[in-house]
Amino acid sequence: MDVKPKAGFLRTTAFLLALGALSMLVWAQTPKVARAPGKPSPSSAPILFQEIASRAGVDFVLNNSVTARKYSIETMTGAVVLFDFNNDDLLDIYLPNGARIPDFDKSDPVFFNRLYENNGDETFTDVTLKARMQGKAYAMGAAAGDYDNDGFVDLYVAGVNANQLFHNNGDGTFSDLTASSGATGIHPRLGKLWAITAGWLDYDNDGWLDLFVSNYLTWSFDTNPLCQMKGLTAYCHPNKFKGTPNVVYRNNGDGTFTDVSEPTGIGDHVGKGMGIAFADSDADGDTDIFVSNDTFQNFFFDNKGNGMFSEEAVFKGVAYIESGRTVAGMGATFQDFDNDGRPDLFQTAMFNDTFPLYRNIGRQFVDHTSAAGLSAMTRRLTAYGGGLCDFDNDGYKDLYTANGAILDNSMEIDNLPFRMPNSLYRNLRNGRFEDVTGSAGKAYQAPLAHRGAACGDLNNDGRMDLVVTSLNGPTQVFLNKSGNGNHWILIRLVGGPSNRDGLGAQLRLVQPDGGEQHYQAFATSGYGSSNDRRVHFGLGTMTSIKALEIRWPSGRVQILRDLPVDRFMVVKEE
Amino acid sequence: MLILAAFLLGASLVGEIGHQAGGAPSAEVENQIDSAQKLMQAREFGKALEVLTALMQRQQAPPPDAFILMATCQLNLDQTAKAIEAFERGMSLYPKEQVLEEFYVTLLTNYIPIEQMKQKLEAALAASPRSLVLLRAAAFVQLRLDSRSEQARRLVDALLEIAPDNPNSHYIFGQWAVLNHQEELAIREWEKTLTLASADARMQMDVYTLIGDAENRLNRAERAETAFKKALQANASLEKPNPASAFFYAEFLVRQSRFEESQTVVEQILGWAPRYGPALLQRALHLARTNKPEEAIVAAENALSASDLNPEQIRAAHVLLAKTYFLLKRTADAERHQQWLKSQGVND
Repeated sequence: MDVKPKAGFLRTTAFLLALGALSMLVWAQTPKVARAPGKPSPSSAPILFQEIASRAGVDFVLNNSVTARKYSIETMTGAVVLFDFNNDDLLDIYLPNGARIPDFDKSDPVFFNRLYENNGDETFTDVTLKARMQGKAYAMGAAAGDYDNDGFVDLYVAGVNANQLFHNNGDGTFSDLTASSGATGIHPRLGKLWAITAGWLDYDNDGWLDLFVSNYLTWSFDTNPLCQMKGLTAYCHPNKFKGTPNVVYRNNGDGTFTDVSEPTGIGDHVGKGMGIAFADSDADGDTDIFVSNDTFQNFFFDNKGNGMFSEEAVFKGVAYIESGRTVAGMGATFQDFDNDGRPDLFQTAMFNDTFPLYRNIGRQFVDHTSAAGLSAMTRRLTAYGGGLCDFDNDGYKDLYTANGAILDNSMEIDNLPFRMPNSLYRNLRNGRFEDVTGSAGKAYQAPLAHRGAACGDLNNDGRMDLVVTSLNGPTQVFLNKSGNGNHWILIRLVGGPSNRDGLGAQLRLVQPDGGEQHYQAFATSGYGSSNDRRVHFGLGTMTSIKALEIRWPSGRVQILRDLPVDRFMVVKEE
Repeated sequence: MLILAAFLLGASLVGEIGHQAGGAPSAEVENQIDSAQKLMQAREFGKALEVLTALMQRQQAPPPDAFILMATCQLNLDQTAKAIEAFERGMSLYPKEQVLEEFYVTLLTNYIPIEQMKQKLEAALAASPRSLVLLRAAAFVQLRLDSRSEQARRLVDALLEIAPDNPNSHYIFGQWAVLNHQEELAIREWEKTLTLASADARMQMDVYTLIGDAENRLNRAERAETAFKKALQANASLEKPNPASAFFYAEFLVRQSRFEESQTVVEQILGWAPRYGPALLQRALHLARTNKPEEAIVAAENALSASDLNPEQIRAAHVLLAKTYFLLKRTADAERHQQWLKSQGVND
């Protein structure tokens, strides 16, 4: 009877069903097929990484205390902090960790947050216990910043059950001053919120670093429903939970902080905050804040310069991607990818979202994802960490993403892998990127459930390295071994009267050929992570720098002329 | 709803239904059916229903089309539940009557919630477990409700087992496969559909579009484009081209950052269907991209006045308008659209 297909309703329904249903694919999906490796640009040597974690002594395994019940917190942990805690001008590594579920006990060393001291010879020593940095929280992200301007970088850890402020004592140890500082992460009405990312910025330009903390879902063991897909227990979609407001703490300059979420207007906005990014996006002299929200419109807090922020993500063009969709926003980064002097925004997200790249055109941003070639390249990926760093020192920042699915049983549920290779996209200097993962080294393509990532120069050779964590898997330390001979400069800023870290400083590098590069000094990057706060410029074949202009948060402008290249330098505010 | 009622009315009056089963009806039955049809033509549905009710009472086994006419009258009298019952009664008398099943499924699709439709189809399948029409509908419903369920797979398997050479079976299997992220399998199944339905331009358009989308998901841009082009070719040959199919190609080109080529397809779509909202929106986005904010606003407002934007596209239009008005310093207009967005409580 039913032999020939008809043009009737069934087929129409089928057609619409297919189209409609495909656009509603669930939260937790990852690509089925490993992405085809990218091809290196014929014009220059490939970006190449060598993975050294094991021989370098970085044996950290991110432990989420995985349970059969699959509590949402389990799949969200993992970050990387690169900072110099002992002022030897060598980047050390701090890696937040989970805790035992359900009591959040961290006494088992497998749950310690870990601090690895850089020995200066491409090896590291675990100094966690000596430094008293094992922590007490089911930790998510962390941020490094010298909040008391004493010359030693402190650390703030964002977590589920507790946030912690670790004051650097300057003798290789830290003290937990959370309670006395007031930066507890405890909301006056809602209690302790599940924090994901923390970041240091001086929003009021008073010379003291303030603290912004993104909060995610209203979550507890009791309110985490049992979620099932295909008859299997799975991590719940965030729509099963209500959102939470973010928190901003103003630094009082005396070791204490005041929660100014309400007076600044930031606390009025309830979202599902993940990564955060800071920049003076509109060149008005103060720092704006972007919050990447998970399946919820992003926030853009425009700093009005009077202690208030206005949420303007829709007007700025970064609330949604061009198609009107929200994405499962994960990490976020402000960096100037096209060297036009305006910091652009990059976001990691999940399968089917694409990873949005918003180009800053002045008052607004435009969704540049497709134009950059990233729509097609990222559509089948899920990433947590990610950001922009100039890995080939050609003067243009490249993109990296730490890929891994959300569901640890996504293969059974969606026929899609949980573990994925990372991605590396080379900046083609024409507004577009190309996938060069395939030539970045075998270890870079290892499929893992990657989470946090941060870039920085671990061995001070002028090439930016990368550290990436993976859930219940090894941490990867990628030394940059790109051999193109391009030149570079690495600058550590020392502020005063600006904040000592110089966070918020705006640098303009003028090349001998008249070209310019721009950099805004912030460490917060990607998913819960902190990059090397030193300012890195790749210089290509240039053998000198015509001028370096630094606009400090204090308003001072300092110009250095005729600088040599291939060196690390310290610039003190004058 | 009225559209379906009108469709049923049209079908029942122009004789598409016909007297297709149950043997030749008596002259008396023929007369009563003719009489009912004339009353329906005059939109006297109440009176037609009386005639048909009387016929049903007198006849132990009224012909199948009597049930269709009766349901049509009931639909036009807003008696949906009764219309459904009429079909169910007809199907119980004529369990192998495909036309009844098809109308029944159409009715359920358009008039009742999908969960209820699922229950109804399960009941109907219990009586006619090998009905292709019912299996097909049940499979679609299940794919929509939970494409990853065992039940979805069972229904799809049953279709393939009963009708392995039916293009629809492979078409639906392909749907199941793609919804379960098995794009390669989906493409293979849809290629079988194309072979089995090679003369059907509309099917070619549908299937090539789906193949193009699946290829795109596999990051095989060249293959995707080949399929989309074939879909466009088949589409253009239709008396009434399908804008939704061609729009897939336009979106694909945008993702490939081939904005101008995409715009050419968009304009072709608008040539077929000048009020097609998604294409109007895409035109607006393109105008914004090319720094023509005033024109972008006009196009976006046009898109918003179209009736066929999905919720995401409606949001995209408001986003574009808020942002573009803000750019033009028309703050009140910008805030109006931002307010709309906030009122929607976005939580994707």
